[in-house]
Amino acid sequence: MNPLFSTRTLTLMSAGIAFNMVLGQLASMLKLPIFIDAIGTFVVALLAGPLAALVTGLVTNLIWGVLTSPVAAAFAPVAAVIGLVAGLCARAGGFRSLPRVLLSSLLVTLAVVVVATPIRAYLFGGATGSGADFVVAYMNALGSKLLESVAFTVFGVNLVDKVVSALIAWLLVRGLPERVRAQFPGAAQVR
Amino acid sequence: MHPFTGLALLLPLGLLAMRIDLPSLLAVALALLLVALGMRPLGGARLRQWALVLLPLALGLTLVHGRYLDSWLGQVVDNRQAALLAALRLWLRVAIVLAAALLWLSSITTASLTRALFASRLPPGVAYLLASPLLLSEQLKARLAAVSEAQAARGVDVAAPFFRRWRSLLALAAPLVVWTLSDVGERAAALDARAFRSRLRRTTLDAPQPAIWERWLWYGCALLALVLAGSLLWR
Repeated sequence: MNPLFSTRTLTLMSAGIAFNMVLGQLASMLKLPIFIDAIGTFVVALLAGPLAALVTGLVTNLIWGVLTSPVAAAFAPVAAVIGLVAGLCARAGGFRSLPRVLLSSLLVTLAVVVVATPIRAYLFGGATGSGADFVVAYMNALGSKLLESVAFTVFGVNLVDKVVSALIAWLLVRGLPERVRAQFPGAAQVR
Repeated sequence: MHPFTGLALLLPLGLLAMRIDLPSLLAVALALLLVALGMRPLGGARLRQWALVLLPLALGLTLVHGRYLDSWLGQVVDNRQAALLAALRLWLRVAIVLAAALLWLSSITTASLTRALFASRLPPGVAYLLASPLLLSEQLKARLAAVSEAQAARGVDVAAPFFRRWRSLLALAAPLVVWTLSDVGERAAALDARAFRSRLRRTTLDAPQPAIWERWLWYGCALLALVLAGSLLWR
């Protein structure tokens, strides 16, 4: 029986997971107000498609959940959806030009809102211990329901992060040497 | 102790915390876990790690569920006590799971976990996917340090003003990613040359062997987790 992923895809996914784990440190080293913990997932989505990227996102958060905080494991479905939607967008030519990349990152953000909002609202009571909790509390005070407040906050927090992550992944894949791009058929969809 | 034994205990413990409603009981369980964590080597660092996640979460939950902003905006808040009690219960559950996870982490090393994963009954591809990022991320951290030094010599300043730091992001990430992706083909060829997926299970030298009581504990934990999950769904 043929395995689901080739060995090359498997090693790419492993590298993608490691990127996710390490590049987040880069953002904190540069003191930038973003997570960029999904660049590896985007890179895998662009090079190997939605299924490989879905598994990459899922495994990243499961490993994080085991090694740092179980909170990350609770958000594993969100990381998986980022990979799935980014991979589908890449397959549909969503990474062929700057406007398309921006549209793709918007679609990824919307998918994140759909999946992350119930997890954050029901599993963590709408709070995560970040500054965004103040926005949730403020919107609640203005009369919004908890789910609406959380959805608005998740959208706001993730939009910039996912746009930046998608742009960086796009630029990185475009800038890969032809020798490396040729190893991954999915790279042909990225221009 | 085998690295999987602590991991096996985590799931039923988390489910049990969700099943218990009494805050005082949850608080006692949390206190015991924190004392045990504090007594481990590097316990202070682990406790700080726990506090860094849980204290901001406590503030966030108090702010959201206590509805203090409503009061400041001149609105009347009903049932604040009940909402805060529910938030406290939620916080205690998350705190217990995190403390237990950190306690388990304090009993293992990355190397022992990697060896256990490779030696497990998981298919070789799955074991590789779970274990290899742990090894690779250490290499990438070293590479990132090398890239940072090289780029600093070329004028990339990680302490530059805000907008210039955004440009530094790509300057630091690009060499790291290109360098690592260039190795992917070679890594895959090396794995294929060793036929690492030709057998259903890998053979590993120096594989950590679970004791018989540990195996029984794993099965007991799996059974207990099923019962607790069932009781949660039933409720």
